[in-house]
Amino acid sequence: MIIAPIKNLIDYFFGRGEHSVFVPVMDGPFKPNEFLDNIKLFSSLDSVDNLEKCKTENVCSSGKDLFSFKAGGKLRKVHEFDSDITAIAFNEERGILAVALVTGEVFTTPLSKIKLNKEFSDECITSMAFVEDLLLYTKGSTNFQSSQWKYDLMSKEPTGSISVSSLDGNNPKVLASNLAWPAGIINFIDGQICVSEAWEHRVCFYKFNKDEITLSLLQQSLDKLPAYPGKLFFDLSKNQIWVSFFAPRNQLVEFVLKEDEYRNKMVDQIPEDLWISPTYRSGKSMQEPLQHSGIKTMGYLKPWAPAFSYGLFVNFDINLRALSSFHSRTNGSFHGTTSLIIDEKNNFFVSSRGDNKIGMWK
Amino acid sequence: MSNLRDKFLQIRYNIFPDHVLGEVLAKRWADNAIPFFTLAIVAIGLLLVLPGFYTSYNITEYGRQYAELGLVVLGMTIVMMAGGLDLSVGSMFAIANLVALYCVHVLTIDPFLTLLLTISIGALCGAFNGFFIGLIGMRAFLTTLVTLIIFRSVVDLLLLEYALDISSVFPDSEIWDLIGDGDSVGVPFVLVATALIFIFSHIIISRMKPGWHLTAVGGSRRSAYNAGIKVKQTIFLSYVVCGILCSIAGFMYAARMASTGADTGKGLELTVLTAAVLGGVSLGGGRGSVPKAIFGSLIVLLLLNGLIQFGIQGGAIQLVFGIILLLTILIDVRWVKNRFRLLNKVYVSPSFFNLPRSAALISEDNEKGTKSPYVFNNKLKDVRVIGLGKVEGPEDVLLDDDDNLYAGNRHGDIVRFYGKNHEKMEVFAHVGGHPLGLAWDKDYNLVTCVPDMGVISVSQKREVTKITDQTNRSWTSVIDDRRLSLADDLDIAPDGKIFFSEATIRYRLKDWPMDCVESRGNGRICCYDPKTGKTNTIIHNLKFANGVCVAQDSQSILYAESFGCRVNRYWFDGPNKGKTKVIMDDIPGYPDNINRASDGNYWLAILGMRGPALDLALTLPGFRKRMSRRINTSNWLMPNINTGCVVKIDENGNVLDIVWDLEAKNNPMVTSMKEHKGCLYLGGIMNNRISEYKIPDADRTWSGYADYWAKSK
Repeated sequence: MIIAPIKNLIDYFFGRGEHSVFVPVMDGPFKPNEFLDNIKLFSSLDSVDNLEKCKTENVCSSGKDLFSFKAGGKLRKVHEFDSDITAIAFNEERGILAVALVTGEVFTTPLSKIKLNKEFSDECITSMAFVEDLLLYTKGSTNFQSSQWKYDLMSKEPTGSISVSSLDGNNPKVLASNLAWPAGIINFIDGQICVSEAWEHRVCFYKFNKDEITLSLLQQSLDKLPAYPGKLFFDLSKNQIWVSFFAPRNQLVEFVLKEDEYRNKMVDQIPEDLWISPTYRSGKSMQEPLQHSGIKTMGYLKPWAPAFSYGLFVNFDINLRALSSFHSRTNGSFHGTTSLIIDEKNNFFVSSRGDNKIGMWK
Repeated sequence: MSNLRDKFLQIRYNIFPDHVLGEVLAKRWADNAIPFFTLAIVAIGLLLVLPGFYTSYNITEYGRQYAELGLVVLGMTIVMMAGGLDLSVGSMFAIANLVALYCVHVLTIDPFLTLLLTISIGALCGAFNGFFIGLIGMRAFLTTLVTLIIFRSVVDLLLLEYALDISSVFPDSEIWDLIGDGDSVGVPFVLVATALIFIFSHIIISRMKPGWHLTAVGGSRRSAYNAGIKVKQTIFLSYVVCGILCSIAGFMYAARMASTGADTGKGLELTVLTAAVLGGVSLGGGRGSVPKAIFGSLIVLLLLNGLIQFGIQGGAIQLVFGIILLLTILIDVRWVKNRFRLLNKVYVSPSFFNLPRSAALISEDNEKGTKSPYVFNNKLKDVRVIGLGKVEGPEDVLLDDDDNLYAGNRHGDIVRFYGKNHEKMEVFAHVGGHPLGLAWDKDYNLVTCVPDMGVISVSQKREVTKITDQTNRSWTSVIDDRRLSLADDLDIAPDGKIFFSEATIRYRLKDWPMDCVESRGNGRICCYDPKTGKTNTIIHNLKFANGVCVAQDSQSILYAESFGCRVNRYWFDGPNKGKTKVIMDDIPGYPDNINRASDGNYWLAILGMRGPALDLALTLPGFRKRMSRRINTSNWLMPNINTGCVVKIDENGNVLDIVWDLEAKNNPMVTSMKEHKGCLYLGGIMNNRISEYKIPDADRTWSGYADYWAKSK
């Protein structure tokens, strides 16, 4: 009773216990490499995101535009929406594409010939996945739009949720709530759902009961990840889960997250691009914050310097054991890795939202 | 409300001297602070609790006791410094007492001869210990435990024989009486003797070879051995010295008490050990000093007498001392282990700093609305690169009239690139530190500021000479600010006076961006006067004093404060002499070196740009303080010095021209530039190249040396 406050004081002074600022190191399967900087450039595309594998073709988004592409071919603009696209899902059995916009509207359309059908409306949809005819989707936050993810991180309020819509005009049903920016969802084995919770730096498994329409959290999860997990992809042929990490964790950011006064003033007074915050691409402006090791020395930015942006994909087996990782380090040129797909012919396509390009390797 | 809070932060962090704690901890004497305060507390506590404690009679009496106890503690300290321990001090003390009494009382020998005899016996006892521990290599603890018993038995046996003879005679020696209870104005003669021994030992231990050997052996036997120190002899001698000091103490005791009691010196080892450890002498060896012994023995003496006056009995006193010893060792172990960790945690002490609004940065094609001279361009894109990969860290550059280009590098050299194309490089002179600012003096000597070394001159014959490495000591600084630690840039006035900046007195060169986290104003401008050969600090408390340039009027200097984001002018002569004026305070970046331009204006390097995230942090000192404690240095928020530019200013601080390297490929951080025959040469302290930029419409004949010195020749 007496010891606790004293211990707290000592911890406060030395930065131990709950006052410590800790970021897991990239080690073991996460050992950094320069793989992503050396892959083939498939195409440049501004703010590319949401790569999605469809039957024979693949699609991706760029702002309001929906593009389709396949290996060996070129990008083809399929449709221009009224506002920015935030999530895409494809129903293989019915050949239907679901597209969510920043306004919260969700449309479905056959991919072969675009015919939009407005299904329902919600807010801040960050990812979607079909389980047969049901559309599961994650809501990042109830306070912010999906483009305002930095605000949500800085607000430290877990208001995200997982919902389901039967696409029959009825209201969607919330299955799980109070999540810290769920950013990716996949249905990987019959009713087994995998969700990435970005601000909690973890990937969790859920069991979806289709008959009762309920979702139960399974024991198994992977936490203390060294970066913020985003969209997910399931490789059926190899039984592997691929996680795209859209930004790295950074000790200074974690520290700012503990510093309420500074963080609040920063959010109030400073333009979003100049925050101490993870981002898709840092180093664009000379007014951005810089960390000690980020100072260019002998004309060279050190690859191991702490970064606000990074490129990272990791594949896991279905027990969530990391197998290997693919990096673009601090001095690299493939940052803000938002999504990954593997097509029928085992071509890998990856998007770099920070550096506006799609890369590929086989 | 926010202003009130800012005001509070300003008082809390700028006036309350947080930084002193770290500076004190960094001092070598910080070790003595805890014993000193303990002593003060004990002394004042006794004064309050026992009103009769400090009568003049008592003080004289304590003085006599102290003379004895202090010497024994000193002996123990010396042994402990060499990594040993001597438990037999009490028994040696008793032997010396007996020998002295027998000589004076029974044999009626002259007291001085008796002293010599006693010392010899003490030395012999010490040598006995030293032989087994130092030369044979036995454990100090066990050996001295055994000799404690042996010496004590000898005393007991001799007492049986001679106790009656001693106590039945009363010696008739005036000197013996004076030693026993003589004093002059209340100061016992024995205390004077002890004080002299203290002074003598302090000089030997702290300033001379035997003392250094002692510390080295105690600190690390193996390293001391490898360094060629005679480890065994040193340990042997430490016990001999301890024996001698104990015997002198025993001699004094004999003269004072004339006691043949069997319990003389019994339990003394515990008291003495407590005193030494309380004083801060480390049980592990290598750490100890005479002041520590003095403090420790004073504390113990006062406690001992205090306890006696409280009426606490002998056994209980031992118990109290045992507990104190245990606690002290505990604290000592923690202190030794954590001192430098604590220092690292508390050294950085940020202050409140609200930077004024900066001028806007605007792009070339978007000039509507905002008016600002800081317009982006990419004029430095196509510079000619010199010495890529050959020169590392050219903070400043300098050209002579034959177009040779000079620069410092981080290997501690001044390098020279030859002639027109600057392709061939040679080491012009090895200085030893990383040369920063460079300038010519009238006689074509290259004068440079070198961190940790001061101001250095290199002649055309490549002779390196020191001009100055210290300035006057300021009275309020805990850090010894006499030494120049981060001399940065310099310029030379027509009369030969060298004005130079010292960026910060609290950090070394490799840690220079940390001074920004602190933003306390640790920098200064100094002036070296060749007429008197003296250096004086002329301006204090600058936020990273950097570029210095003698203005065209030769009566003033312009100087930059990098982390204060301002440029100032100071008049050292003429009608405005002594005045200072801020001429630029809205720079959107961190100004560095200032040098003359051919058209009578000045070039100012801006090493990086201000960012709102750091500007905000500067107003929240607590945030930065916690940052410095919580997170790794490589993760600290720093000024963004990856993109810089060069501006041309007039002497009133108006911006006339600006050149950028927006891609930051060749010149990510510009720390200095010099104009020479129509070109601008740019250096960067963390760069590995020098760039040459052709200035449009510049005077193709203008050179720096001629501009400074041709007129006066």
